[in-house]
Amino acid sequence: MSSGTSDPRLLAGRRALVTGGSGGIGRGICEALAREGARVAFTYHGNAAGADATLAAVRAHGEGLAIAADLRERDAAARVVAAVEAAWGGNGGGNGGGNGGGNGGGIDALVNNAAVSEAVPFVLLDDEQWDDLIALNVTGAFRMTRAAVRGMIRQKFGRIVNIGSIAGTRSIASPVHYAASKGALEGMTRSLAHELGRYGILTNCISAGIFEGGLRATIPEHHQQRYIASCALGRIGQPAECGELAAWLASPRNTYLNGATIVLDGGTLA
Amino acid sequence: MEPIPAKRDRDAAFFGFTRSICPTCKKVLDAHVVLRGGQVFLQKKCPAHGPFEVLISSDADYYLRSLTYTKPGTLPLAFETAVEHGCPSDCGLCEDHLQHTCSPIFEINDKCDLTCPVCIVRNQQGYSISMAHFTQGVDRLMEKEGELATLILSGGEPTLHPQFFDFVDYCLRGPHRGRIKRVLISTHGKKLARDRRFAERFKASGAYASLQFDTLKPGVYPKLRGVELIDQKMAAIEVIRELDIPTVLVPTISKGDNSDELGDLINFGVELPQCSSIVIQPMAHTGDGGDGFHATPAGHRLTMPEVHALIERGTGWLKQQHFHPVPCSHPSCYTATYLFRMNDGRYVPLPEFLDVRQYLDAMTNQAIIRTDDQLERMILDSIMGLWSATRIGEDNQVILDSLKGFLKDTFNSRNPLTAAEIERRTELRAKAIFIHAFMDPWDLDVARLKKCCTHYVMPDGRLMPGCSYNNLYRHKDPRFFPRTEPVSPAPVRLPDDKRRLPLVT
Repeated sequence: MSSGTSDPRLLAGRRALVTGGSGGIGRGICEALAREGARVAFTYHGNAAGADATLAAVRAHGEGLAIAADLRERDAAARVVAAVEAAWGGNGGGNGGGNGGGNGGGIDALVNNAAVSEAVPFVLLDDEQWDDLIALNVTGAFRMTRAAVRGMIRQKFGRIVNIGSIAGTRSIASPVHYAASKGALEGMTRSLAHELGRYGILTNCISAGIFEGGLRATIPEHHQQRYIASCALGRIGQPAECGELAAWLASPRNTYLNGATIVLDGGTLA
Repeated sequence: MEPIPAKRDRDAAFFGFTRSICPTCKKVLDAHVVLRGGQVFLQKKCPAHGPFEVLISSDADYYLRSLTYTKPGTLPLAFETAVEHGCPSDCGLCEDHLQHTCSPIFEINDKCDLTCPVCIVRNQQGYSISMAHFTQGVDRLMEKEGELATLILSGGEPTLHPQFFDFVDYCLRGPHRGRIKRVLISTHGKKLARDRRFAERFKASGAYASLQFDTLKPGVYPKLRGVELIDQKMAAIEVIRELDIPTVLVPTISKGDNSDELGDLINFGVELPQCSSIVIQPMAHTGDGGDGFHATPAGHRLTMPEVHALIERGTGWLKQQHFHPVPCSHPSCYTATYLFRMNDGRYVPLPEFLDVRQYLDAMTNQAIIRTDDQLERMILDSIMGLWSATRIGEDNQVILDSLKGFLKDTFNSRNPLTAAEIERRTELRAKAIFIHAFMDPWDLDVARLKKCCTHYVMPDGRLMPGCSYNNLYRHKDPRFFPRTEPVSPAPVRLPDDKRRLPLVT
């Protein structure tokens, strides 16, 4: 695979890990990263057919790796990162460059995308539901980040992209535990930016509107219609469109945007 | 000195003034709504055929209360006819009509292999709509509505039309794909019962069966439908179960003939998983069948409160107060209640744990429950109300658990469903019971007509309020009666450049 500086692709020679890559936004991100030259590893849980489809899409551009993992499990993050580093370690990354440093790093870009949601009113949420959702949407992202930044700190380079939601950014009709989890990602993004920035690790968050596939199924149809009606572009987003932004944020081309939450919603008021 | 004659009171208290028609000559007449003995009557007098009085509500208190169920009508995107002669002689819809089309019915033929004694139409066995006229009618309807929750294809017996499936395809997969949500087929069900290939194709088409289903007992169909159909109806139900065809059950209820079965029919529909709603139609004395079913409807008419009472008596678990007028139409035309299935399998009427009057916008006369803002607000408020109660009883907890289970299973990223699957799942969990009272020449009341939202679709673009069409226009419709004299006075069509500019706001 090419990793030379002459390769104009955003992520030529880079190694990316995307959580929740078997469908929806996750697949769109994997495809975009692969098209931009990254080797793409992704996790999935349960949806093996979706994972196969994503892997095929990634391999149309280059190397890919699908890892089955339930990121709610305590040791899952470390195991996933170890698997990626075992496959591709020591052959990429490096401080701001594009050549691959071979200095012990394993992952150049981490996209925390895996999330679940369910439309349950606040008063009916029980502890188990709260814990279960937070375990994946927040704790899963925390553990993945902690596992991945070890190598990033060593190689003095890394890009972390958290996939948030407009539900965590502004006041909209949304399940409270889901909104809380996405709000937590935004806070985590800002704080990580401070703590890790000086090691060449830039952290940003995409506050996603409604996109085709994935969590869209948890949003009642009339809410989607209201969203479309208030969207300047008058439509739901496509996963590839989230992938485009994630690819740039995950790339060394981004050198100054850090700790930011970018709202990606076609310009909506709702 | 001559004694002063004693003055007498009229025999009834005047309540309202309206217009109706003469049951004999169909001339438009002034009419009075009067109260007497706790009941409500419509009185009118034809210069040629004398006075007529008809019972329109067996419960005056209910009638008066029901009139408070109202909300502003919604304008269609265009009108078709001018206000020229006055209601009901301007139909099409005219600019004075107070409601858009909630429930359009498109009759695609007038051919039927039954001659039902209670039939409200006038099948001449000669008309089958062409594809060009059908698409024109649907296109013009969509110009006026933009989108439709339901479109009902009727007849005649619509399944006898050779292009039947082409019509369904045009609605669901043609240029209005996604904007016509559901197509209901008003059918007697014989082809579903007898023709397996047809039934499988019906299922594949995505249409809903709107099945005439009057009784669970032998001996009733011969009186209402002319022949015994009980075995065929039950065979159709088996096919519906087997192929999982979404279905609306439509019993026509004739007082004294099958009115004692209302409870059993509702229980049957509630237990049938494919049944999303039950639409009860008290028989109207109009059409080739209804005209002569009784010499006079006196004593044979079922009014709304009577139907509610019969349902309570028949089911035991549904109460009269569970039924509320549907405010988009006139309260005497539609009443409804909604049921929600608990985790333990029981159905609980929403009004048991919710003040339905606060959610009038959620109540429409569409035979299918839609998940929309109003329904969501209704459910959310019921959850908050039950949850915040100072004491949560066992039943309340079952309701809360059931609502939570439904939401969690339906809108969950771990088991993503398509919009169609979500609607289907909602239908499996929530059912509606509607009572739809059509009018005949005896009780026709223009106050009800003006707010009618059940409209017949004409191929030429007109939309005819159901009961004005059945009573004043159907027998002169050139599609069915090509040699008849035209309706006089004829409604005046608006010029094209005026149709899209409603003058009434």
